Amino acid sequence: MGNKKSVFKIFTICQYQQEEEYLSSMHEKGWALKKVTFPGFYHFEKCEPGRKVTYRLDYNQEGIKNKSEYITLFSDCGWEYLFDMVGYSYFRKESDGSQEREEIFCDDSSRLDMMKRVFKGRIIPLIILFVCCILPQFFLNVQGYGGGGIVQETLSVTLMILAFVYLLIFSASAYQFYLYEKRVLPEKAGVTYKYCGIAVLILSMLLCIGTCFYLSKRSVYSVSERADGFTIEAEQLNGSVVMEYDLKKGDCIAVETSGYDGLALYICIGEENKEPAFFGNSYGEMGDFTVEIMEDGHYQIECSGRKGKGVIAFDIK
Amino acid sequence: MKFEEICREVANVVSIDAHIRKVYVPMTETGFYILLCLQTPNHGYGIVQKVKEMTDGDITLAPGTMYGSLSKMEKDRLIRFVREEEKRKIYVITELGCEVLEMEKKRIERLYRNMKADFSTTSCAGATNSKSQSQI
Repeated sequence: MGNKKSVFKIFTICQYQQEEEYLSSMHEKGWALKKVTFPGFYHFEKCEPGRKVTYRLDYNQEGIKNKSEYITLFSDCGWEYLFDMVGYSYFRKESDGSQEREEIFCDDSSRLDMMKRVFKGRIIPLIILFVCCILPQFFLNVQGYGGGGIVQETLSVTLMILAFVYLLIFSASAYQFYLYEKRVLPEKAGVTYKYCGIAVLILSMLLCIGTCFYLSKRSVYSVSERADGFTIEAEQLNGSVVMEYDLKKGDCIAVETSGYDGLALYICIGEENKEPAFFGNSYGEMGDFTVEIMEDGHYQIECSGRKGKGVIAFDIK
Repeated sequence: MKFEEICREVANVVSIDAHIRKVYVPMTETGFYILLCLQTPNHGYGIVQKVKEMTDGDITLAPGTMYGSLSKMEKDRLIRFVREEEKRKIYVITELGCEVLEMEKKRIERLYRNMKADFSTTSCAGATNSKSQSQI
């Protein structure tokens, strides 16, 4: 076995405590942290196993600006400075054998201050990115702007997943903040109200995104049958309409799609398990045309659309 | 005499703005020790050592807390930077810091007086129960 090892592991912004515990347990198993590279590669070096070393993370941009002075204070107090990683500074200290936990914060209020710095430095930019970039993109996409077709479909699903992931991170961080604030400021009822508000906000966001996505996928149309054909009137056509007719040689189907507008239109006329008599695929309407039937049989007329709106008429003569 | 005291209190309230009151009154133990120690110029680790000495090793201020408190207090002008010595920033208390410290001292004194004026009627002071009742 080599002297080096890299592990890919993701900790979200507020999971620094889990990260600290993970690093300590790795050190006890004989793997000392060497460095961390984006987005979550932990590089370890072999060391003597069984030693209890505490890892701690601080988030202090001011400290990083005045690095030498910041590190000196920590090393005076017995903490070895390792490196910075996106605003977090990594420290470690070997336990001196006493049962006391080694901490870089000795009271809850300074621990809360650190969380506030994380919030300002990391979560607020995320929120800005979310509100100014991901959400508008998502809405534009489900509305049907941006090309159409498979690319747009994939993009809107991706953006929705991204939005969910973001909301998950926000909820997880808000929950952590809530636990801390509740412990540090237990007498303030306002804390509970504040976080109830945040929870309601996140839930309504979730609901809003879900609803938009659902609305964009939903299909609203009516099919009216006549003696000599049928007409589809769509408010929003997402999916397919299939009608069946017994047709004879020489019959003609006049298709009128010029009243239709949408992202995609697909029309197929044919007998089951046979080469179709007509097959067409387009991004919008495909004009008016007539299909002549060359053979007697039981025919299926399939018409499907994506975000389609308007009228499509089939007349059989 | 009483009137004068009230005037002094009011003057204090006026000179110390709402933000400072919210953050530093009452103060954390760390904050109090920092202000107490910085009556003579010192650096972060110096304060840690001094507090350890003063409390017979019971209180070890942690570096993250110390760094955060010092920069916060400097920003709020409770202390000010004097000079740098071997990569250690030396700070000293300001006039505003002194005022805040005085307020905190008064609060702790009151706490101490009230603690000494044995109010307990329950198990904590079971043996001296009759005595405490007569005092109340």
